[in-house]
Amino acid sequence: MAISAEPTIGIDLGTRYAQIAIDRAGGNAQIIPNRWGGLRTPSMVALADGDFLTGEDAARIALVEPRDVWWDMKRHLGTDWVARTARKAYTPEDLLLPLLCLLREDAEAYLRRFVFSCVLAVPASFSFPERGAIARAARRAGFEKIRIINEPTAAALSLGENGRFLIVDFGAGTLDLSVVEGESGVYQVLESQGRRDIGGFDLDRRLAEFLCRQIGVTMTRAEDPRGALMLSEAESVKIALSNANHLTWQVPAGLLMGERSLEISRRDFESLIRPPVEEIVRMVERIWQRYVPHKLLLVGGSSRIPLLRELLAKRVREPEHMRVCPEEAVVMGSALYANQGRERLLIDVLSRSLGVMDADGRAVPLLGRGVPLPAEARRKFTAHGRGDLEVTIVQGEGRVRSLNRVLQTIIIGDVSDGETIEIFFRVDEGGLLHVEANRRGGTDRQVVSLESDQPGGAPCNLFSEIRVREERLARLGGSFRAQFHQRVLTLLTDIRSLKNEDAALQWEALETLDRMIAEIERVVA
Amino acid sequence: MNAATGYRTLGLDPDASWDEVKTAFRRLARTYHPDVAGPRGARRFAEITEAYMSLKDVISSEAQPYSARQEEDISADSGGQSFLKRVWSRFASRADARGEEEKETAREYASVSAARVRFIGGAISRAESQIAGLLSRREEVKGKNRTGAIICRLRSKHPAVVMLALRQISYRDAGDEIRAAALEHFTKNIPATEVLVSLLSLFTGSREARGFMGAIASHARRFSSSDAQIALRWLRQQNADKSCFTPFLSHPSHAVAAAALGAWPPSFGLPETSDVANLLKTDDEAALVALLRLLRREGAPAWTISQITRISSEHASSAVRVWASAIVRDRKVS
Repeated sequence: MAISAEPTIGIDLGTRYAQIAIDRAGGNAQIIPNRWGGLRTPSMVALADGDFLTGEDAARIALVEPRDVWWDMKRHLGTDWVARTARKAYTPEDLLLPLLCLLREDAEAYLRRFVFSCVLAVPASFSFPERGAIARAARRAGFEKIRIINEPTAAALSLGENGRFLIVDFGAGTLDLSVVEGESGVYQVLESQGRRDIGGFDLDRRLAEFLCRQIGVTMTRAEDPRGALMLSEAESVKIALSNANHLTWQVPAGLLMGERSLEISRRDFESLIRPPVEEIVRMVERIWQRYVPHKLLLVGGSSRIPLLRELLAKRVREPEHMRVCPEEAVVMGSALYANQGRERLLIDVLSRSLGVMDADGRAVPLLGRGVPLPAEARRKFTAHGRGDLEVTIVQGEGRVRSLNRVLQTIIIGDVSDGETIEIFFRVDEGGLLHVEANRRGGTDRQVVSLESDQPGGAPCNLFSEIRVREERLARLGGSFRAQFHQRVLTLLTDIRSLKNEDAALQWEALETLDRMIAEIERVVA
Repeated sequence: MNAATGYRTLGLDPDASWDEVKTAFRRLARTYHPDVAGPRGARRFAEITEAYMSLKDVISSEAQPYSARQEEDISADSGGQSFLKRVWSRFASRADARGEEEKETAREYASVSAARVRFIGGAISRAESQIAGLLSRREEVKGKNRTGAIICRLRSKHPAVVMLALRQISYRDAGDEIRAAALEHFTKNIPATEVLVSLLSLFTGSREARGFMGAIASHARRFSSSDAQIALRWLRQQNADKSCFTPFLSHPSHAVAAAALGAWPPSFGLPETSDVANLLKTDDEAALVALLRLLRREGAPAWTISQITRISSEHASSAVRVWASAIVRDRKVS
């Protein structure tokens, strides 16, 4: 079977398990096995002797020494959460990097080719900075071409049927809903939304607490190794109870406190998980009433839970029988998306409008919610005064400030009266946002890409470093700037263009800039 | 874009239903979506998207929380303008306060001599040339992209990926960086036979060959018997030092020790005393024959003679007895 010239793999980087797949020519996606022979790899990263261990290796360590093992990095992306170890702190991005490397290597070993491009499925709730962060991690892991797709949307693509569907993707860490309409090979997304605070793992945690109470185990320390064991036991009990009404749980040796075994019924489990499941059903109901789709599809590992299916069947609709395994729908769809535009075309939409914030903190949308992607919008501002212009990019349509998420603030330094500034938004085919500020008819361009502007874990936050130095330059006084303004601006633009390069190179550029500013300060101040 | 233009763009009659609009949009997207038509389709796709969105606002029966209309022309939009005024009034007040300061600075600055201006100009030019240097270095990095990809894979722990990288290297133009990464991989891992063979040909005749030989020597005892013999053959071809051969003499497999002794170059003289003593104690035919041949060539030291004499009469293998008695005979003659 012929493989296209440059293989593009689909990656479903789940909260708990990651999968990769490739679409061989002919819309025939296939899961790629990992180095341990499994079809899914635990999304775990562990630190042992200063070296990262990933996948199964990390999962094994987790049962012994859970302190330096992480697996829910994805839920922390875009926040200032860091994993602290004795020596260093790691951002979610730093921890995703070895995992993405592992997946790339498994694909390379299987395909016997270098892999440079991928389609990354992310939860629908991911905002642009989070998408940017994960794309950046993928780039650091050796991928050069990266496309981002929403997980439920990918699942829709793997189904390949006509009609309007509601896809519910209930994974270990996220819940995503998408309404997709399929019509002769074109799949158009009507709506995507997601939540990151409900996932199958929360059910595991509830069950683990219940089991602990039942056998009389109390965990005093957070890093108690028994906690990890308990959670993995709870996970297997949960899975078993999807297919059985009763279960005799043999208490593992490490947790023995007296009782050797415990009878658990599905009803016990269901009473534990009813509140979160009810909430999911309510969410599904709301969106169902708004769009009235033809079919309801459940994907993701946690969608196997009988209570969820039962409640949905009672209140919404009987979930459709799927041809693909619910755990594999997302990765299959991502792999198919790699060949986007041949047999199938997926048109995604912007899930929350993008705009700039006005003086009252209200969002003025430039790209409206529901606009098909790729899309772009530009808007001109005319300056009514002098000074620095601050443009705040927000996502969301709330009239209330707190409902809008601030993605980024661009400062356009030293604008003169009557100057025209054009803000240009573009959401590209890869699902990433680019923002540009053009001034004076496009001669001086300030390009801001969300993907590279918040390096998070990268050792050099180039843009904010430059901003600090811009302020220092600004303090030197207006007349200085008038004379050398253009040269300094060109210099800064040059340095900004190093944004995707090595941190060492960036630091060198910044040092050069520091030297220059110091010299100038000596004579001006 | 008004509704009439929207219908025209999508090639529809003005009485078309929302479903027809959607179908028309999708049909056109099948042709003009950038994933199908490439960047050339982007402009047309933007047009049909705009038409679709404008019609969606007008006739869509779907529940549409979307309410914010896109303004084509901001100057015609009063809301937009008042927003701008608000934004700018914020900055204007800030700028006024700064105006005074700036006048002050300007007065000061006027008194500053032209020499200072020249100094600042010089500082900026220096920075400019340094940054230009950095930018050109970046171009170099881009040219080495392939090299970077190979090095990245050489760092992998997955043997298949390392092998993939080694296959990608064209040995003629493999750079120092690639060899350095390969050496690093090699020092950390005992390679599979396939990888070892590739590495050997990668380092043949290179500047880093010495370092690589050292790494082979440090792995010597952990190689499999057949890999060790491959490595020994290569070491012999590359005229490696005695120190690279020595560790092979204490390899768990006597076949390896025999091979090392067989490949022992005449210029090395005898192996270390302890190695000779240990090998004399073994019972292995191949290793003993190789050792005795070497001892005969180089001249057996006096302390070995009693043991060789015993071997010449007691050892089970006739080949060993023949070589041992040859040494004993030589000794008597001299």
